[in-house]
Amino acid sequence: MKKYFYSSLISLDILNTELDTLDLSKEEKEELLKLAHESIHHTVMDAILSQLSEEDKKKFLELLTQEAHENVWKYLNEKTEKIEERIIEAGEEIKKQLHSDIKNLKRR
Amino acid sequence: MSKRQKSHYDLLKKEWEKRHRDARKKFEEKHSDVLSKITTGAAGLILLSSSLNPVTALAAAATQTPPPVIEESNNLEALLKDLKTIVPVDMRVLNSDEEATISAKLSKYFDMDIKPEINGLRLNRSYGVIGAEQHLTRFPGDSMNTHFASQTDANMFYSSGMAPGKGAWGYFVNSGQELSTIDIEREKWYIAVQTFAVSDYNQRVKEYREFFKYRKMLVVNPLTGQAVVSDIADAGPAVWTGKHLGGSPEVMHFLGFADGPRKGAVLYFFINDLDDKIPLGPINLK
Repeated sequence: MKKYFYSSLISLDILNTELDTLDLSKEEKEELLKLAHESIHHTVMDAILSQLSEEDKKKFLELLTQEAHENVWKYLNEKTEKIEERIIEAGEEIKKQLHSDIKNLKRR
Repeated sequence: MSKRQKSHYDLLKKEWEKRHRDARKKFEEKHSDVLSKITTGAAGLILLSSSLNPVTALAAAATQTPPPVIEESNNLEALLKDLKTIVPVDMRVLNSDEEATISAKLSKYFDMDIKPEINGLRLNRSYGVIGAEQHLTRFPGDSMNTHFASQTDANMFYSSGMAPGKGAWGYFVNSGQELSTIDIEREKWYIAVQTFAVSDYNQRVKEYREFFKYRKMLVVNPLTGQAVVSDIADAGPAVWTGKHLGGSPEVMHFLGFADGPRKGAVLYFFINDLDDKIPLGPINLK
């Protein structure tokens, strides 16, 4: 999976392990993990953009295209407060929902 | 595969696809104002109406030369409305009436001569499932390290990798020194179609090969209106895959199929471009 600047803040290890407890082929598991990554990505991006002004969003997106993670962090820390916490919170929230889906599935 | 295995996957996939749709919808609704200002034309369209990863789309929009702006968004709405009434919900071969109606509509909206067949030559179908292909080797020694014109392109499309064999017509050129803009564009915007599945292909091999070679086709995502002028540079995919054509990483990106299962339904018709005036690549409505 692609590494984003926030990837170190959001671990999917537990989700990965939980998927291993289901009857899934390797390809099926990969596809599900990809879906999980995409949901997390949209959620995290929403959390970040919600903290930025229109002008700051443009600059942030420009930095993202350069994939210079340090510059992205530097910029976000200048323009926002507690952005790491917000990213972690957003990630945890969506992960909670994904975990819950697996739990419900096992109960069936 | 046991029933239990299939059940776990199907059930969870259904739930997670819904979560993904919801997350994407929320994202697009909250940020579409600024995103639509940043992006113009096809890139904006990709961002706002496709399953494309927003950041990937933004990267494309922010760093590439913007395509012409769609001046009348009503055209898009009208196209989608028209296609919705004509294109079947189930994936099947279009009948000749449907092909005629759709090609007329596409001709009108994209202001070019779109046809399901030219001089009696045609493909096995014009509505099918497109899947993701890899980059093609353009000349002997072409590799992932020599393939991209910019770092942005490399960032976006490197991960697709390179197909182990050559395209249906062999190398595009014999050496890197001979590589011209048209060769680069032909590889970048190529599609693979099931030439071998045409009913009278074996009786007219030479004629069909000449006809298909780099033939321009308009490929349209009927759900979003995203469209790419592509060229035929490979044969495939195999019938057993369930897919009917393949798109280069760039084609898939601009059709809105870069993420998720990386496949989807498209219309694909020949472009009757006698003077070779229509450039390859993403195209907007006229």
